[in-house]
Amino acid sequence: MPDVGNITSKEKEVMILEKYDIVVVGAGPAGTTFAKLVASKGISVAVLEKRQAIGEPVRCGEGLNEWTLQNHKIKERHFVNQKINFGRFYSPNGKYAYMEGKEAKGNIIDRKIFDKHLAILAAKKGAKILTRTRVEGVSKAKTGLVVHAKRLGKKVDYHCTLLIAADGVESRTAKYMGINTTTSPVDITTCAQVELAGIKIDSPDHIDFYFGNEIAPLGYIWVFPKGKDRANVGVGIRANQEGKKAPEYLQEFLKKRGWENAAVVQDSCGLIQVGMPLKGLTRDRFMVIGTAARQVNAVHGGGIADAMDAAAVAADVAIEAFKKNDFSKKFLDQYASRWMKKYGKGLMNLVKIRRAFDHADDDDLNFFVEKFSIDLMENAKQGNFKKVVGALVQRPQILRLARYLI
Amino acid sequence: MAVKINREKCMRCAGCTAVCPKNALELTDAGLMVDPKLCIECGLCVRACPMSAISLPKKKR
Repeated sequence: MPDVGNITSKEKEVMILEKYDIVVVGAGPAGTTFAKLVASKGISVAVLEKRQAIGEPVRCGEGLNEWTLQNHKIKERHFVNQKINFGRFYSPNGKYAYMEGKEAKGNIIDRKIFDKHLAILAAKKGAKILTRTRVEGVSKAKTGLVVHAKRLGKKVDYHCTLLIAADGVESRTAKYMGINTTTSPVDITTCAQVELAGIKIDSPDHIDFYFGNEIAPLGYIWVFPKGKDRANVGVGIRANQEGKKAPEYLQEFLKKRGWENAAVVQDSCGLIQVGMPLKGLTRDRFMVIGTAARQVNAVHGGGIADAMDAAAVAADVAIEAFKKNDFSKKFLDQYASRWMKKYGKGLMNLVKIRRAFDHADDDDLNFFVEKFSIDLMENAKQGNFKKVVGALVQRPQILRLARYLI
Repeated sequence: MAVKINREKCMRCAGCTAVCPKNALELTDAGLMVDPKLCIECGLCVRACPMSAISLPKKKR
């Protein structure tokens, strides 16, 4: 039994102790993507998941880029409900912008099947997946960290050389490691969604977004088809507003579409952190990945792709750390710097855009939709704000939003 | 001190846990739990909850 460091006398009574090279907390897309990659290099890894079923409850619009699946070499598509080829952005005046090409290619997936599939892929490479295992604390030991968990009602300590927090929006593990992950309501979007069945969807390969300060203040409504008679319909609004809550805006939209009596086969709600990504991504022997680190697209609110991308960067650094036998914060910070260069800067630009959008009125939104192009979107993500503003100068009022981009 | 949780309204999205500055809320198998030793009744979770499932105790409002 390794030295268990500073754990208290009560916890010394623990009879069960398991040892892994890496322990991952959370079996979402970030955790299992990471586990698959390190396990394939022969590193022993356990993924601790507090729920009894991976992927449940669903709290997601379930849209995912095709290129993310390809980048992460996921060949199967059995979790795809509907292929998407086009996107439409509706402005408050009812006009819409069309999105097509690579950027629009995507899938509406079933998260219950997708998340479980990622866990299966990890398990096939040798990762251990432990459901109904809830982490209650972390303490330091001489040769690693000890994760205190409750598994099937029994206390279990997991000793690991490296710990990965992939516990999503709750992000408790990072808090145990002394990283403040609390988010202010100004940087939070609350969402409500229903999966409707028995409705009529005219163009199932189109995803639709509806903007407007009356229908979804500081947010948008989405219709993500899951077939020609089924769709996820949801709304996200900023959390720091007085008045109606997300489910009320959703009901209003359903009524407007004549869907208020449609069958609801899945009801979900959730919260998206649309502020800046977490700064402290590492500690000695510790890395935070995915939604737990607020690695989220702040404009559309999606997080699956960003979680998997960050997991891949972190896995590379973890594999190198085991080769060099160096688990210091300094070494692990390569994850933070590589991620920032490859993905983080883009995500931070999106946060700035989102903050500017917060001050847009319906006339601005009409104008944006009229001027929308893939180029404009890419320039914005790259941080070429001069070009973006340049393309929008026909409406001088837009300049008042530009200051939020600085 | 502690906020009140209506478990029939709660949809277990765990959104409240992200805004709690005191780490007082936790989503467990048995539902959302609040630690009265940690909760300071700041009301941030009340605002963040999409389902209006959390409220401040009446006398304090």
